[in-house]
Amino acid sequence: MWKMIVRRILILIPQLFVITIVTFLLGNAMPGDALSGMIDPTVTAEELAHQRELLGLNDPLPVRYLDWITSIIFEGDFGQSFTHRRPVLEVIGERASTTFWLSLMILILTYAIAIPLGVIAGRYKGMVIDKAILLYIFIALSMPTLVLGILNILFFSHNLGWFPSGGSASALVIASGTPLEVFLNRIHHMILPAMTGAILGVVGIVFMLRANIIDRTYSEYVKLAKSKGVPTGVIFRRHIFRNSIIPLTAGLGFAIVGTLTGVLFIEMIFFYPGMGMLFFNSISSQDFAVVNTLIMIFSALSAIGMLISDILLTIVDPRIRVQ
Amino acid sequence: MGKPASKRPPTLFRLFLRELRHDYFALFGAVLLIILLLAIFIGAPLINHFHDVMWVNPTPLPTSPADSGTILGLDALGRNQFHMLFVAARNTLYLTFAITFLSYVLGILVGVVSGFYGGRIDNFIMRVCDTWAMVPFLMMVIVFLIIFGRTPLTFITFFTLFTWVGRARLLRAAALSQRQMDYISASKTLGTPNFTIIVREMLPNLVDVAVANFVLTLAANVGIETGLSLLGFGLGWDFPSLGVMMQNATNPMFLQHFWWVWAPPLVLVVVLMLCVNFVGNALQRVADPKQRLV
Repeated sequence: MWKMIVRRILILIPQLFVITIVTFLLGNAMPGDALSGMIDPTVTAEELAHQRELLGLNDPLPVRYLDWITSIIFEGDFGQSFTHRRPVLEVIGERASTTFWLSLMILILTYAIAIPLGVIAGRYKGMVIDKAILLYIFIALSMPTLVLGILNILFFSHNLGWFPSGGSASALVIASGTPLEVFLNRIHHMILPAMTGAILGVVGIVFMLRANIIDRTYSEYVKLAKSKGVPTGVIFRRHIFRNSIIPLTAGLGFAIVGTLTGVLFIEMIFFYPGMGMLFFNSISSQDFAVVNTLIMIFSALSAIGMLISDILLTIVDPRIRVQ
Repeated sequence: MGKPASKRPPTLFRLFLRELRHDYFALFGAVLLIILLLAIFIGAPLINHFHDVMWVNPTPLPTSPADSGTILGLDALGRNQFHMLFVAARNTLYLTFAITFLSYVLGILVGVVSGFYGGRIDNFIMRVCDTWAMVPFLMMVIVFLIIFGRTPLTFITFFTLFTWVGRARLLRAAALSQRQMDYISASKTLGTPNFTIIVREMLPNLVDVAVANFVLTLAANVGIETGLSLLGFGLGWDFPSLGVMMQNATNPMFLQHFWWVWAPPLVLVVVLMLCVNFVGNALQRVADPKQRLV
């Protein structure tokens, strides 16, 4: 198993390398360069040209790529943000935790909703409750993230006034509230966007869990347990449920990747100041140093997500280890 | 002496009809979808012929259906929302169909070659696909659209470029399982050229899987187009699509007080996707005999 995991991690290195090349070329296609952030009326064109020469921005492409990648690896220097006039990493760092907590909340809610629904649908296959859950799943599947976000804002925020329609915390509470109040305020702001993500994120998990449970119900070992006279409840808990839930762990990585994509949109519609909103704002202000770095970060995150999936799969399913 | 016609295996379409009889969701979806598609594809050209949908007559605020005497009112630019809805729906469907179709062409090409030859070629292609799949495609599409301009053509191109990977993986898995079957080995032993085997013997067996997944992907792509355009990062105002019409919903005042400028396209998108998903799910069950209801 360890051999498999190490090999899987080794494959990751050339993949990440290719991604840095793609983002580098993308950065070249975008307008502006490392010095755009320093342009202001006090700097003359000659000075800029001189700086460009000094920084090696006029060198051929491969040389510049090497410069760029070494400064990222050895100095952690991703460049300067042109709107914020600070290092890119600093700007993103401020937003990263917001996105992290929101994503975590979405993931937790997704599993908290999906597992009971999948179990109920699988156990009562073909009955009214199964049909109702399937209908919900189909509606969730057919609902673009933003559409649900808009409807949630309209009903729960504008009409009912239960939740704020945007932001991650109110400035007033941050300025004068106790730590507990600030924490509760943040949770209050998080509920609506997190629910939006979770309600839509459950689709794949419910489908999979339902199919697993139905599959196990008709398996030989369940038949054996039945013929031995084991009570139905015990069969369900020990034999069916446990064996159905194990394959789900491997789906965690994909859930992470899916959540990251969803968060991008959710942050934008709820004005939630995380990396997703930073991405859209930077695109609008053509701050491509930030955009580029964000693309790399999201690539790396989805790579890690897939890695987690593969590793969990080898732990959970011994058949893969043999290969 | 040919076999009597009744002994021939049922076609995908016949199996689908049989499945519909047992799945009321899918039946409902299929019927509603046909009605909607007919209405959209007959209605849009007619409306385009008699009215200039993009003719603008700006007013400070959208005009309600009652005040304007039209079915769904006018938006702030004075455009008839009912007429626009048809044209936008048609545009969205054209666009997403083109994207889905092109990504399938690429996906089938790569996936089948990879799955059929296996071994080193397969390994290499799959590593490339893995890497490509790591790239957050929505972000990439957005960035490329900003660099190269937001036209339907660039939208289709970049969207296809970043979504074919999933299709290639699916087709590769299906091709890989077909490759091990006896009919392929038999054909190889007979000396049939690989190209002939792929096109005439393998592809027909992959159609079922491809069609079912095609329909589901179509629904997903409608959703993504809507999302991107809604945020203003997809298509522009000059190309009315359902997502572009829904941009009105990002304005809190419009969202609260002028339902007719955002609700109709929103409902249409959800209903369209729901129907397509019902149909796609039934098709998927048909393609995989283990899942069939009958």
